[in-house]
Amino acid sequence: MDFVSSEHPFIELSRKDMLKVKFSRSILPIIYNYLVPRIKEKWGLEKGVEVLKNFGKRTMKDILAYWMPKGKTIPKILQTTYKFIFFIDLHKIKEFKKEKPRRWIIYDTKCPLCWEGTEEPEIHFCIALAGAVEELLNTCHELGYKKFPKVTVETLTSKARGDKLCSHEIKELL
Amino acid sequence: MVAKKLGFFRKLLAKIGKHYLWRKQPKLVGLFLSLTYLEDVKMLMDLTDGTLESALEEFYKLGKIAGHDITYEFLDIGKYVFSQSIEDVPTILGTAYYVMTGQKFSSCKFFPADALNPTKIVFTLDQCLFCGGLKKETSIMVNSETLGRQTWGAVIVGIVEAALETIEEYVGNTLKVEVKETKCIMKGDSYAEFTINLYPIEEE
Repeated sequence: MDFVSSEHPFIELSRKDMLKVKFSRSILPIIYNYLVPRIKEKWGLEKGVEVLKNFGKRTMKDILAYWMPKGKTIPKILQTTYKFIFFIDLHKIKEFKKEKPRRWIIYDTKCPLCWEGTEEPEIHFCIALAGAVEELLNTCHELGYKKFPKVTVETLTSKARGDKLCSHEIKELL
Repeated sequence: MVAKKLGFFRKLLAKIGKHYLWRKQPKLVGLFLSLTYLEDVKMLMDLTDGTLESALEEFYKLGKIAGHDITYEFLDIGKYVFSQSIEDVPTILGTAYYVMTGQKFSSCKFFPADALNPTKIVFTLDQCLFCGGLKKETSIMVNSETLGRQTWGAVIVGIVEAALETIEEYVGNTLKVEVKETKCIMKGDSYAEFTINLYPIEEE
Protein backbone atom coordinates (compact mmCIF):
# COMPACT_ATOMS: atom_id res chain seq x y z
CA MET A 1 0.00 0.00 0.00
CA ASP A 2 1.34 3.44 -0.88
CA PHE A 3 0.96 6.45 1.36
CA VAL A 4 2.14 9.95 0.77
CA SER A 5 4.71 11.18 3.28
CA SER A 6 6.46 14.45 2.82
CA GLU A 7 8.18 13.65 -0.47
CA HIS A 8 8.05 10.04 -1.64
CA PRO A 9 5.19 7.57 -1.23
CA PHE A 10 5.69 5.14 1.65
CA ILE A 11 5.83 1.53 0.53
CA GLU A 12 4.86 -1.10 3.07
CA LEU A 13 7.21 -3.95 2.33
CA SER A 14 5.93 -7.51 2.42
CA ARG A 15 8.11 -10.41 3.54
CA LYS A 16 8.64 -11.33 -0.12
CA ASP A 17 9.74 -7.76 -0.90
CA MET A 18 12.23 -8.02 1.94
CA LEU A 19 14.00 -10.82 0.07
CA LYS A 20 15.09 -8.24 -2.52
CA VAL A 21 16.34 -5.65 -0.02
CA LYS A 22 19.89 -5.58 1.30
CA PHE A 23 21.05 -4.15 4.59
CA SER A 24 24.43 -3.69 6.24
CA ARG A 25 25.42 -6.67 8.36
CA SER A 26 27.28 -4.48 10.89
CA ILE A 27 24.43 -4.13 13.38
CA LEU A 28 23.56 -7.83 13.63
CA PRO A 29 26.65 -9.14 15.50
CA ILE A 30 26.80 -6.10 17.76
CA ILE A 31 23.21 -6.52 18.97
CA TYR A 32 23.73 -10.29 19.29
CA ASN A 33 26.91 -9.60 21.24
CA TYR A 34 24.88 -7.80 23.91
CA LEU A 35 22.10 -10.38 23.97
CA VAL A 36 24.28 -13.45 24.57
CA PRO A 37 25.56 -12.45 28.05
CA ARG A 38 21.99 -11.66 29.15
CA ILE A 39 20.79 -15.03 27.90
CA LYS A 40 23.62 -16.75 29.79
CA GLU A 41 22.74 -14.79 32.91
CA LYS A 42 19.05 -15.67 32.76
CA TRP A 43 19.18 -19.30 31.60
CA GLY A 44 22.69 -20.48 32.39
CA LEU A 45 25.12 -22.12 29.96
CA GLU A 46 23.33 -25.30 28.98
CA LYS A 47 19.86 -23.82 28.56
CA GLY A 48 21.39 -20.66 27.05
CA VAL A 49 22.95 -22.70 24.23
CA GLU A 50 19.57 -24.31 23.57
CA VAL A 51 17.84 -20.90 23.53
CA LEU A 52 20.38 -19.54 21.02
CA LYS A 53 20.13 -22.62 18.82
CA ASN A 54 16.33 -22.34 18.80
CA PHE A 55 16.71 -18.66 17.95
CA GLY A 56 18.55 -19.66 14.76
CA LYS A 57 16.06 -22.44 14.01
CA ARG A 58 13.04 -20.14 14.28
CA THR A 59 14.60 -17.47 12.08
CA MET A 60 15.50 -20.00 9.39
CA LYS A 61 12.05 -21.59 9.57
CA ASP A 62 10.48 -18.20 8.88
CA ILE A 63 12.89 -17.51 5.99
CA LEU A 64 12.14 -20.88 4.41
CA ALA A 65 8.44 -20.02 4.30
CA TYR A 66 9.37 -17.44 1.64
CA TRP A 67 12.52 -18.82 0.00
CA MET A 68 13.99 -22.28 -0.54
CA PRO A 69 17.51 -22.90 -1.86
CA LYS A 70 17.99 -25.06 -4.91
CA GLY A 71 20.62 -27.79 -5.05
CA LYS A 72 21.12 -31.53 -5.05
CA THR A 73 23.82 -31.83 -2.41
CA ILE A 74 24.25 -30.57 1.15
CA PRO A 75 27.35 -28.44 0.26
CA LYS A 76 25.50 -26.85 -2.66
CA ILE A 77 22.44 -26.06 -0.50
CA LEU A 78 24.65 -24.56 2.22
CA GLN A 79 26.71 -22.44 -0.18
CA THR A 80 23.55 -21.18 -1.90
CA THR A 81 21.92 -20.28 1.41
CA TYR A 82 24.96 -18.48 2.85
CA LYS A 83 25.38 -16.60 -0.43
CA PHE A 84 21.70 -15.61 -0.53
CA ILE A 85 21.35 -14.54 3.10
CA PHE A 86 24.81 -13.22 4.01
CA PHE A 87 26.42 -12.66 0.60
CA ILE A 88 29.38 -14.79 1.61
CA ASP A 89 31.00 -18.00 0.41
CA LEU A 90 31.74 -20.68 2.98
CA HIS A 91 35.46 -21.39 3.16
CA LYS A 92 35.09 -25.18 2.88
CA ILE A 93 32.63 -27.98 3.48
CA LYS A 94 34.30 -31.32 4.20
CA GLU A 95 32.25 -34.45 3.58
CA PHE A 96 32.72 -37.74 5.41
CA LYS A 97 30.40 -39.76 3.22
CA LYS A 98 31.84 -43.19 3.94
CA GLU A 99 31.36 -42.90 7.69
CA LYS A 100 28.26 -44.16 9.43
CA PRO A 101 26.54 -41.94 10.37
CA ARG A 102 27.56 -39.57 7.56
CA ARG A 103 29.10 -36.26 8.60
CA TRP A 104 29.85 -32.90 7.06
CA ILE A 105 31.91 -30.08 8.57
CA ILE A 106 31.37 -26.46 7.58
CA TYR A 107 34.43 -24.20 7.84
CA ASP A 108 33.49 -20.53 7.95
CA THR A 109 36.11 -17.77 7.98
CA LYS A 110 33.61 -14.91 7.54
CA CYS A 111 31.15 -15.75 10.32
CA PRO A 112 28.35 -13.15 10.33
CA LEU A 113 27.87 -13.45 14.11
CA CYS A 114 31.42 -13.62 15.49
CA TRP A 115 32.13 -9.90 15.56
CA GLU A 116 35.78 -8.96 15.99
CA GLY A 117 35.01 -7.15 19.25
CA THR A 118 33.55 -10.29 20.77
CA GLU A 119 35.25 -12.57 23.26
CA GLU A 120 33.10 -15.38 24.50
CA PRO A 121 35.04 -18.21 26.12
CA GLU A 122 32.06 -20.21 27.42
CA ILE A 123 29.60 -20.42 24.53
CA HIS A 124 30.21 -20.92 20.83
CA PHE A 125 28.88 -17.58 19.75
CA CYS A 126 27.59 -18.77 16.39
CA ILE A 127 25.61 -21.69 17.80
CA ALA A 128 22.53 -19.87 16.42
CA LEU A 129 23.89 -20.52 12.93
CA ALA A 130 24.19 -24.23 13.75
CA GLY A 131 20.49 -24.11 14.67
CA ALA A 132 19.70 -22.34 11.40
CA VAL A 133 21.64 -24.92 9.35
CA GLU A 134 19.93 -27.78 11.23
CA GLU A 135 16.51 -26.30 10.46
CA LEU A 136 17.46 -25.75 6.81
CA LEU A 137 18.67 -29.31 6.20
CA ASN A 138 15.86 -30.96 8.15
CA THR A 139 13.31 -28.94 6.19
CA CYS A 140 14.96 -30.16 2.96
CA HIS A 141 14.69 -33.71 4.33
CA GLU A 142 11.01 -33.27 5.19
CA LEU A 143 10.30 -31.79 1.77
CA GLY A 144 11.77 -34.91 0.17
CA TYR A 145 15.04 -33.49 -1.20
CA LYS A 146 16.86 -36.61 -2.42
CA LYS A 147 19.83 -37.84 -0.34
CA PHE A 148 19.09 -35.33 2.43
CA PRO A 149 19.08 -37.17 5.78
CA LYS A 150 17.65 -35.88 9.05
CA VAL A 151 20.57 -34.24 10.83
CA THR A 152 21.76 -32.62 14.00
CA VAL A 153 24.26 -29.73 13.89
CA GLU A 154 26.75 -28.68 16.56
CA THR A 155 29.29 -25.87 16.58
CA LEU A 156 32.85 -27.14 17.06
CA THR A 157 34.91 -23.94 16.96
CA SER A 158 34.12 -20.23 16.91
CA LYS A 159 36.17 -17.12 16.29
CA ALA A 160 34.54 -15.39 19.27
CA ARG A 161 35.96 -18.16 21.49
CA GLY A 162 39.42 -17.50 20.10
CA ASP A 163 39.53 -20.16 17.37
CA LYS A 164 40.93 -19.33 13.93
CA LEU A 165 37.63 -20.00 12.21
CA CYS A 166 34.11 -21.13 12.95
CA SER A 167 33.13 -24.70 12.21
CA HIS A 168 29.88 -26.61 12.52
CA GLU A 169 29.50 -30.37 12.39
CA ILE A 170 26.48 -31.82 10.63
CA LYS A 171 25.76 -35.39 11.70
CA GLU A 172 23.23 -37.72 10.10
CA LEU A 173 20.60 -39.04 12.52
CA LEU A 174 20.27 -42.79 11.98
CA MET B 1 40.96 18.52 11.30
CA VAL B 2 37.18 18.79 11.44
CA ALA B 3 35.62 21.45 9.21
CA LYS B 4 33.64 24.30 10.74
CA LYS B 5 31.07 23.85 7.98
CA LEU B 6 30.85 21.43 5.07
CA GLY B 7 31.87 23.10 1.84
CA PHE B 8 31.21 22.02 -1.73
CA PHE B 9 34.13 19.59 -1.85
CA ARG B 10 33.27 17.78 1.40
CA LYS B 11 29.61 17.54 0.44
CA LEU B 12 30.66 16.05 -2.89
CA LEU B 13 32.96 13.65 -1.05
CA ALA B 14 30.02 12.56 1.13
CA LYS B 15 27.86 12.08 -1.95
CA ILE B 16 30.40 9.91 -3.73
CA GLY B 17 31.90 8.25 -0.66
CA LYS B 18 28.58 6.91 0.61
CA HIS B 19 28.19 4.80 -2.55
CA TYR B 20 31.70 3.41 -2.17
CA LEU B 21 31.18 2.60 1.53
CA TRP B 22 27.80 0.96 0.86
CA ARG B 23 29.41 -1.23 -1.79
CA LYS B 24 32.14 -2.25 0.68
CA GLN B 25 29.70 -3.00 3.51
CA PRO B 26 29.19 -6.68 4.41
CA LYS B 27 25.52 -7.23 3.73
CA LEU B 28 22.62 -9.49 4.52
CA VAL B 29 19.22 -9.97 2.99
CA GLY B 30 16.56 -7.65 4.44
CA LEU B 31 14.19 -10.46 5.41
CA PHE B 32 16.85 -12.03 7.63
CA LEU B 33 17.41 -8.71 9.38
CA SER B 34 13.68 -8.19 9.86
CA LEU B 35 13.12 -11.73 11.20
CA THR B 36 16.16 -11.60 13.45
CA TYR B 37 14.88 -8.31 14.84
CA LEU B 38 11.52 -9.94 15.54
CA GLU B 39 13.21 -12.88 17.31
CA ASP B 40 15.43 -10.47 19.28
CA VAL B 41 12.33 -8.61 20.48
CA LYS B 42 10.68 -11.87 21.57
CA MET B 43 13.89 -12.85 23.36
CA LEU B 44 13.94 -9.49 25.14
CA MET B 45 10.32 -10.01 26.17
CA ASP B 46 11.46 -13.24 27.87
CA LEU B 47 14.39 -11.41 29.44
CA THR B 48 12.28 -8.54 30.81
CA ASP B 49 8.74 -8.48 32.22
CA GLY B 50 7.17 -10.14 29.20
CA THR B 51 5.68 -7.00 27.68
CA LEU B 52 6.52 -5.65 24.23
CA GLU B 53 6.99 -2.17 25.67
CA SER B 54 9.70 -3.30 28.10
CA ALA B 55 11.42 -5.38 25.40
CA LEU B 56 11.58 -2.36 23.07
CA GLU B 57 12.77 -0.10 25.89
CA GLU B 58 15.61 -2.59 26.34
CA PHE B 59 16.21 -2.67 22.60
CA TYR B 60 16.51 1.12 22.60
CA LYS B 61 19.29 0.76 25.21
CA LEU B 62 21.01 -1.94 23.12
CA GLY B 63 20.69 0.34 20.08
CA LYS B 64 22.50 3.07 22.00
CA ILE B 65 25.41 0.75 22.78
CA ALA B 66 25.48 -0.57 19.21
CA GLY B 67 25.25 2.97 17.80
CA HIS B 68 28.35 4.07 19.73
CA ASP B 69 30.26 0.95 18.61
CA ILE B 70 29.30 1.32 14.95
CA THR B 71 30.07 5.04 14.88
CA TYR B 72 33.50 4.57 16.50
CA GLU B 73 34.31 2.16 13.65
CA PHE B 74 33.46 4.87 11.12
CA LEU B 75 35.07 7.88 12.84
CA ASP B 76 38.34 7.59 10.97
CA ILE B 77 36.79 7.65 7.55
CA GLY B 78 33.77 9.75 8.54
CA LYS B 79 35.81 12.67 9.87
CA TYR B 80 36.17 14.03 6.32
CA VAL B 81 32.45 14.68 6.11
CA PHE B 82 31.84 15.74 9.73
CA SER B 83 31.58 19.39 10.67
CA GLN B 84 30.96 21.54 13.71
CA SER B 85 27.92 23.16 12.14
CA ILE B 86 24.68 21.55 13.24
CA GLU B 87 23.18 22.65 9.93
CA ASP B 88 25.28 19.85 8.41
CA VAL B 89 23.69 17.16 10.60
CA PRO B 90 21.11 16.23 7.89
CA THR B 91 23.96 15.66 5.38
CA ILE B 92 25.95 13.57 7.87
CA LEU B 93 22.88 11.59 8.92
CA GLY B 94 21.75 10.98 5.35
CA THR B 95 25.24 9.78 4.42
CA ALA B 96 25.37 7.41 7.39
CA TYR B 97 21.89 6.06 6.62
CA TYR B 98 22.90 5.37 3.02
CA VAL B 99 26.07 3.57 4.13
CA MET B 100 24.00 1.23 6.31
CA THR B 101 21.01 0.68 4.03
CA GLY B 102 21.89 1.76 0.50
CA GLN B 103 18.80 3.97 0.65
CA LYS B 104 18.06 7.66 0.96
CA PHE B 105 15.68 9.36 3.37
CA SER B 106 12.33 10.19 1.87
CA SER B 107 12.80 13.67 3.28
CA CYS B 108 15.02 15.36 5.85
CA LYS B 109 14.25 18.82 7.16
CA PHE B 110 16.23 21.13 9.41
CA PHE B 111 14.50 23.56 11.77
CA PRO B 112 16.85 26.03 13.52
CA ALA B 113 16.37 26.72 17.21
CA ASP B 114 14.14 29.61 18.20
CA ALA B 115 13.21 31.20 21.49
CA LEU B 116 10.87 28.33 22.37
CA ASN B 117 12.24 25.27 20.60
CA PRO B 118 15.59 23.52 20.26
CA THR B 119 17.18 22.76 16.87
CA LYS B 120 15.05 20.10 15.25
CA ILE B 121 15.70 17.68 12.40
CA VAL B 122 12.86 15.59 11.01
CA PHE B 123 13.49 12.74 8.61
CA THR B 124 11.04 10.35 7.00
CA LEU B 125 11.52 6.97 5.34
CA ASP B 126 9.76 5.66 2.26
CA GLN B 127 10.15 2.07 3.43
CA CYS B 128 10.91 0.51 6.80
CA LEU B 129 13.15 -2.55 6.80
CA PHE B 130 12.28 -3.47 10.36
CA CYS B 131 8.50 -3.76 10.10
CA GLY B 132 8.23 -5.34 6.63
CA GLY B 133 5.52 -8.00 6.75
CA LEU B 134 5.01 -7.51 10.47
CA LYS B 135 1.30 -6.75 10.23
CA LYS B 136 0.69 -10.36 9.18
CA GLU B 137 2.82 -11.82 11.96
CA THR B 138 0.79 -14.08 14.24
CA SER B 139 3.42 -14.94 16.88
CA ILE B 140 3.36 -11.46 18.40
CA MET B 141 0.80 -8.68 18.62
CA VAL B 142 2.27 -5.33 17.63
CA ASN B 143 -0.07 -2.33 17.83
CA SER B 144 -0.51 0.98 19.65
CA GLU B 145 -1.73 -0.79 22.76
CA THR B 146 1.08 -3.37 23.06
CA LEU B 147 3.78 -0.87 22.01
CA GLY B 148 2.76 1.58 24.76
CA ARG B 149 5.22 4.49 24.83
CA GLN B 150 7.61 2.64 22.53
CA THR B 151 7.72 2.26 18.75
CA TRP B 152 8.85 -0.73 16.68
CA GLY B 153 11.96 1.14 15.53
CA ALA B 154 13.24 1.60 19.09
CA VAL B 155 16.62 0.21 18.10
CA ILE B 156 16.97 2.78 15.28
CA VAL B 157 16.16 5.55 17.77
CA GLY B 158 18.95 4.28 20.01
CA ILE B 159 21.43 3.90 17.16
CA VAL B 160 20.77 7.37 15.68
CA GLU B 161 20.90 9.00 19.12
CA ALA B 162 24.21 7.31 19.95
CA ALA B 163 25.70 7.99 16.51
CA LEU B 164 24.92 11.71 16.73
CA GLU B 165 26.18 11.92 20.32
CA THR B 166 29.45 10.30 19.27
CA ILE B 167 29.87 12.52 16.19
CA GLU B 168 28.97 15.75 18.01
CA GLU B 169 31.38 14.91 20.81
CA TYR B 170 34.07 14.11 18.21
CA VAL B 171 33.64 17.49 16.46
CA GLY B 172 33.73 19.28 19.81
CA ASN B 173 30.08 20.27 20.17
CA THR B 174 28.40 19.94 23.54
CA LEU B 175 24.85 18.93 22.70
CA LYS B 176 22.21 16.75 24.25
CA VAL B 177 20.71 14.58 21.51
CA GLU B 178 17.16 13.30 21.81
CA VAL B 179 15.62 11.14 19.09
CA LYS B 180 11.99 10.01 18.89
CA GLU B 181 10.19 7.92 16.30
CA THR B 182 7.30 10.33 15.85
CA LYS B 183 5.41 8.27 13.28
CA CYS B 184 5.39 4.47 13.19
CA ILE B 185 3.51 2.20 10.79
CA MET B 186 2.84 -0.26 13.57
CA LYS B 187 1.08 2.49 15.52
CA GLY B 188 -1.25 3.22 12.64
CA ASP B 189 0.67 6.07 11.02
CA SER B 190 0.95 6.14 7.25
CA TYR B 191 4.75 6.49 7.12
CA ALA B 192 7.83 6.35 9.35
CA GLU B 193 9.14 9.61 10.78
CA PHE B 194 11.94 10.35 13.23
CA THR B 195 12.47 13.66 15.04
CA ILE B 196 15.82 14.71 16.46
CA ASN B 197 16.07 17.49 19.03
CA LEU B 198 19.48 19.01 19.70
CA TYR B 199 19.73 20.87 23.03
CA PRO B 200 22.78 22.94 23.88
CA ILE B 201 24.42 21.89 27.14
CA GLU B 202 25.36 24.84 29.30
CA GLU B 203 28.97 24.44 30.41
CA GLU B 204 29.52 25.16 34.10
